[in-house]
Amino acid sequence: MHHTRGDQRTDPGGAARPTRAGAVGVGMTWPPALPFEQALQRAQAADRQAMGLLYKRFLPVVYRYALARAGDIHAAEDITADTFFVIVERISETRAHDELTFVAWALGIARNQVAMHFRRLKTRPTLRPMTADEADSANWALPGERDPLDVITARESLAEVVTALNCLTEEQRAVILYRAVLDYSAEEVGKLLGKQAGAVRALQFRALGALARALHTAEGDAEALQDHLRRPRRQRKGE
Amino acid sequence: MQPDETLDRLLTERLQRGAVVAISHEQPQADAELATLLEAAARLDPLREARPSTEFAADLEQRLMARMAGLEQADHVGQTRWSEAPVPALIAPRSLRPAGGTRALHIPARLAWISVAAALALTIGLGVFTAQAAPGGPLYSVREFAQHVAAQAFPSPTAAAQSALAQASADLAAYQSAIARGDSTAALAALAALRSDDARAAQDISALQDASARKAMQARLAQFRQGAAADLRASLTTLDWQGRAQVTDALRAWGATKLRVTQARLISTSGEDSHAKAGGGDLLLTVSGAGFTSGAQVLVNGQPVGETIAVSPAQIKARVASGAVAGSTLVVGVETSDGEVAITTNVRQDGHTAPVTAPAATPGNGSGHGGVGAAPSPTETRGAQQGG
Repeated sequence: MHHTRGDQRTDPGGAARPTRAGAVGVGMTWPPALPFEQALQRAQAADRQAMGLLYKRFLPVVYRYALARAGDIHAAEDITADTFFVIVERISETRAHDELTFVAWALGIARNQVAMHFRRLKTRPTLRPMTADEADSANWALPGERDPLDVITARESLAEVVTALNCLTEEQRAVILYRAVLDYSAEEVGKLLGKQAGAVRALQFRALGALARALHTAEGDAEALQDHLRRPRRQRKGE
Repeated sequence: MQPDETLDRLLTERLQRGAVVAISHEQPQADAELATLLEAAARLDPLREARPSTEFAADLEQRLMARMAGLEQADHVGQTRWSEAPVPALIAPRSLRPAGGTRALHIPARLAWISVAAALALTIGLGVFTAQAAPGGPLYSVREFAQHVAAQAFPSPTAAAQSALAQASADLAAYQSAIARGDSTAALAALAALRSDDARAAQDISALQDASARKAMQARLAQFRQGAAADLRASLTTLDWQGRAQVTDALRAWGATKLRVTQARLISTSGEDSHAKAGGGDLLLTVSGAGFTSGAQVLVNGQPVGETIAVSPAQIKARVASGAVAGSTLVVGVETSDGEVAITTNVRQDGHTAPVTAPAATPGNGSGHGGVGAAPSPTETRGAQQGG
């Protein structure tokens, strides 16, 4: 695994996020002041500062994974919190030795928490439409997207994407999430899933195809809704 | 290059640059397929850019640190971590457990369960019997032991929070009992224990993972504090000014009162203050803080002094005779009409702050409840000698 230890910008979410220019195949970076291995060892020895560093670094990763699986901000926050509590309690047991193996371990816990979340719901994931406040607090709305129609569009778009992701197989979903949402390279995804990079690329190709089909299927309903909302209120009343 | 490799390259470029990448037009049909796949990947961008809210991130970090502190504390007192202790310590102490787990234990299961039931019954009985035990009393250590055993027998985060809350309730009962006996020393000791257990309960509750359980426990804690605040207020008239100051400090910590005194300043009326001159006193005492209401009066070493000239929510001015502040140590306070008292030893004279001297003994309080040393609130750390 390649590590970029230099160029970074501050993520408003609290994590240092790498710039990716010129860093092919980089999924993880770490502030050079404290090597990841040292931070992990200190956290395993109950060093709260080191645990805080791990938390800040991996919070966005776990949160994005949870949001992509649950499709609901509150559920994603609950899953993220549960995941980190398990991490804190079991960090002394992990056999992770570098960032990638640690992420594999942490996302394994997150996956279990997602499964428990769905078990609690006792159904397949059903998406609760987000409120306008939730859509605002989520940062997928671009600047200037304060128009209610844009908010609704963002909400519908997220719901469609998460629903489409849930139509994929576990392997396809994992590849897409790790690759296109969590920014790991094909090589890193291969290590995370125990596959060759070539197999990951082939799986990625099929998975994106399946995602495109699932999105295309859902788009019919969404477009009808958007057309309806774009029409003047007078015309809608007359329908 | 295979289509999946091309897709991976284009996807990498797109993720790095965050922009649409050009596709060659050598194979129109293949290019259209790649464009569709890249478009599908682009639909994931909102998820890729999603970030947890700052409030959530800060709150979770705080809870995690509290959890780490709790685990560390549990390790220090010899408890096993919750994740490592599926079997309660009463059934099989860690030192007796074989490496392979509990299956190989040579204790007959029935006997073990009978022992557990008997131990729990004894523990609960002890807990009930000693619930009213006051701190310092002979049964108090028995009560703490029973609660410690109960916490070990039910090693869950919720049980720990409930145990702390139960201890706080017992402390409140001990406080009320001491007040009824007229024993202010025991009452204030119980008050200190109450604040400690209340803080522990709040910490345990904030560390709860389950959001619904956490909210339910927070509601219980708020309800407990509301009732406790009413009980503490009702006891104010039975305490001397120093006791009332401690009770007020507890009320302030719970947000049940705003009364606070941060600083007092003595100014000689030989200066230019027209208020003091009009009153004819020697000194003008200006007390700063918060939560002052109409009817509040200034106390010096527990005694009402002089005449109150002006009251605002953040400042009181009183005219004071020089004889009233002649002692070497000053504790200035404000008492509201409903008996709450806030005090400070941070007293300045003519803008000069003298070195700290804590009150050495209980000044005259006129209430008949002696024996409790002055205990300024934690925020009131600086004192001053008059003079200089």
